[in-house]
Amino acid sequence: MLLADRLRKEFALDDGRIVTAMDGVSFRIAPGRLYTLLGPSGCGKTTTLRSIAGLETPDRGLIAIGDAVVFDSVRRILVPANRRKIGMVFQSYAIWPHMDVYENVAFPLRVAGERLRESDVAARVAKALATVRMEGFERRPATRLSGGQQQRLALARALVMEPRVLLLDEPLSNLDAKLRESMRLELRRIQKALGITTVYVTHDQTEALAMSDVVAVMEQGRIVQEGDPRSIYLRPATRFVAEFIGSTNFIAGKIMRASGAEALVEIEGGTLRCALPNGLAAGARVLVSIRPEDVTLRAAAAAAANQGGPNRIRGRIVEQIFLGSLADHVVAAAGAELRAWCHPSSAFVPGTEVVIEVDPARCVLLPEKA
Amino acid sequence: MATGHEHGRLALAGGGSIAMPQRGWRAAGAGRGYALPLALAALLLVLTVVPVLTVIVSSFRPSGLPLSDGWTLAHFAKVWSAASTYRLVADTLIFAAGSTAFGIALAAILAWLVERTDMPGRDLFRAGILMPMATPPLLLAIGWVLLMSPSIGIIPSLLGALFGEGAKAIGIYNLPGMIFVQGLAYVPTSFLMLAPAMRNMDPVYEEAARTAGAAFGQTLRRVSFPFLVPALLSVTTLLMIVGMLTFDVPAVIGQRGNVNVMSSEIFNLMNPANGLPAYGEIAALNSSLFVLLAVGLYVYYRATQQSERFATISGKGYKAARFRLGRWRPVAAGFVALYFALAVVLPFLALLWTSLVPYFAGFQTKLLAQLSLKSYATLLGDPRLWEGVVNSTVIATAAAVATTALALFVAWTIVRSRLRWVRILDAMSMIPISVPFLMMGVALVFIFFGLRAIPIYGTVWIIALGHLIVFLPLAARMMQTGVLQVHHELEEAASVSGATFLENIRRVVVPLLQPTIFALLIWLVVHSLREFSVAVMLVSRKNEVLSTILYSLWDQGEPGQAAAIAVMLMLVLGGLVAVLTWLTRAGRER
Repeated sequence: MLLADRLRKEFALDDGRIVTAMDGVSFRIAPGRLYTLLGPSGCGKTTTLRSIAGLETPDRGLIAIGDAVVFDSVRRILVPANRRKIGMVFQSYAIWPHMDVYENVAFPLRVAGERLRESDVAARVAKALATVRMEGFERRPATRLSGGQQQRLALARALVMEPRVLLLDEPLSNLDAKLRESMRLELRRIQKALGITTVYVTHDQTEALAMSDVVAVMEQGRIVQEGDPRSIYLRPATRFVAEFIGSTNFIAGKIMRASGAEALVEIEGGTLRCALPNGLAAGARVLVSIRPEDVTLRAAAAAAANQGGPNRIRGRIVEQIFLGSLADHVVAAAGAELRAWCHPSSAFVPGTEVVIEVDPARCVLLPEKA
Repeated sequence: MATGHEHGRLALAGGGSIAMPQRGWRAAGAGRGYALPLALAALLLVLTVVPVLTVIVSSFRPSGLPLSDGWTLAHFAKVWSAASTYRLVADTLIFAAGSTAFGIALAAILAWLVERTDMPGRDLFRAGILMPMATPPLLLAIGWVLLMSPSIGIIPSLLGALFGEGAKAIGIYNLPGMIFVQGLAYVPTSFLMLAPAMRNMDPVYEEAARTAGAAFGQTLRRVSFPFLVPALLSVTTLLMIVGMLTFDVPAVIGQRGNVNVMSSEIFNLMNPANGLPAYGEIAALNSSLFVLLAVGLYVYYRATQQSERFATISGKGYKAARFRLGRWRPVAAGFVALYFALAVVLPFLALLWTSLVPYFAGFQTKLLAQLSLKSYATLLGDPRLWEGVVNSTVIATAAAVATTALALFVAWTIVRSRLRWVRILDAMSMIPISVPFLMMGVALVFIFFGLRAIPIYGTVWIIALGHLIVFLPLAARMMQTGVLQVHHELEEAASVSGATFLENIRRVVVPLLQPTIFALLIWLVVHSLREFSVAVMLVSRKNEVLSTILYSLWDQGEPGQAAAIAVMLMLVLGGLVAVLTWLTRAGRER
């Protein structure tokens, strides 16, 4: 279990300006879960992670690992990083170049309060290296490892003390695309097998969606939405989340009527039926978010108004880009340019009049401001 | 899993009890601690600010000693009402500016040839560039006096044979002679500061200028030169400060030619023929000079900041295009060889010859038959020499270790601490740059002559302390460069792994900085062994070092024995410099 409560941290820049890196960050991570802090650079995700590690000191708030409070600004508790019993993998891996693989992994054991016998050290190092599939590399100098091997070594070093919490700071960002994909699976496999509570920091939405139990999207020092990957993608709560995760189209409009779970939204040149979220009522100005993969294009002649079926809007093809696995269309409709990802077999040439079909359940309403 | 966990639980249950026994909750962890920065600030205050203040305070004391009573402006009035003072300042400025200009010009040409042209043998030159460190200004000056002695020196004899008797009149006991030798001594430092600036210049800027239609000369003047300005400015400031109060060359050449500069004047005032030194006047001269130098320091500080800003502009990973010298290649190589001959080989040969001949009479073939090791034998039988060897060794070792350790902690704190005021540590560690060596020696005399509580006056420790202070700025800068190259996550990984601050320093920081630490230790040993200006102010009969023994033998008319010490010193220094060269090359290849 990991608890962060109302963490706040301000930095003074060299020119005197104040930046709020964490602006009331709170979350609770259930044991064994992989919790991802996702956001663009400067959103405060790394500061949050480093605060958990004890490498940054928040101005205010409370952090508890397991049932031990490691930071509490009110009671003035600050457990230094070296006594927090955590494992951490750094973005640069921070493999010590003056030690070989074995000594890198053995380091946490050697600086531990209790002295271990060399045979115990060897056994625990072997176990950690086996976990990351690095057996046989013990005496390899750290400077002669590939990026992927350094990554595994950093993980072994983080795990050797069997910490309560594992912290991962963009661990895959320095790997090439192919390796990143396989390491993603492997990291998740090891995390699940050990059942270790993990905090994962990344700016890569694919990584976040693929690996996490829970994703927290951060913006300007705040967690703006928290949920499992599916709900974050399918039901973004704000314009920022919808834009940051995946691609999307926005259509500005105003709620005309709200009845039950559905709202009728007035947009330029027509209306859209949309799923009605909490907190929005008739009269509210809104943005309708529609993912490009949820858009179906039909030839104008085939379309006819149908009350019960999908939304239909008239549009005209502006551009078509063939991408192999899909055909990306830009369509002028409802006063905007909308993207539509269609099956590669569909080929509407620019200038063609079309009808855009979208399932009302796939039209996500967002407040215009926020 | 014990401690953190238990403490955390205690804190939770006990409500209000602090988990870790530490003063103030901000005191934990790298980058936030107060204790180390505060301790270092206090230490640097004592080491760098107090000596300067002592000299300034002394200049306003009627007795000229810092701890006496009363205030007066009489010393300044006396110093600045004498016409000779202005003459002194003018000669000092000519000497400092002339040698700086000569040294930098020579170094700039060498750096350009080595870094930006296809001159043959440039790798050999780069390997040997540290060698002139083995010929400190004192030895260089003595070597050149031997080479240039009127009528009997090797060079006047040669000139006489070539161009007739009239050419023999060329002398060295004058300002141009001093400027020539001091300038030669400046070349290694200037080269080391200018070469990186030339090497790191991204050729894309020059290529852009060429494609924009600029001729070769225009490109050099309008594009290349502006890039060098920050480096030139900082090396100029540094050398000007050194030149204002260096004593080696003025002692050996100036004193004989009756060319007085500030340093020799202060030395003479400190060593009067009879009675007590005129401390007040000495302090007033030094304080006046310090005002000039404080301005110099400010310019230097600004210039080095500027050069760092420039350095970040240039990228990495390109290979600078080299200028093709064509048929000038042998000329360039000859020029470089001439420099080595003038700066190392000829002075060394002159010293070697002098140490082997029975009496000093220039170079004459008839003396070949009488060569002997008599000077060495006399020397090695003299207990005074052995005391000097022991003293020099103790001082060099102590100063090198202490300076390296202090520089490590200062540099680490400056780079890693998040406290905003640690910048003051940087400024304080740089103060001795603006304090000439001789003046620092004077300051230590002022402090410890009266301060009986710390009885180091007249011992080797006061000289070691002097060396610690004067070499600290360079050591701190070298260490900062080293620490900056250690990625902060390497240290954070150790903290997260459970290492305490000291374990972190011992197991991660020191091993990673090992090449820098070794290089710095050797650099410091070399410079402490050859140092003269601080030592000459602080020696008494009990704490003589090799450089001061050498000078007193020379001064007392024992050139043979002086040269013998010089030769042995050069061999030792040369060996150390060879190790240093090997270390820095090995470090670069890692």
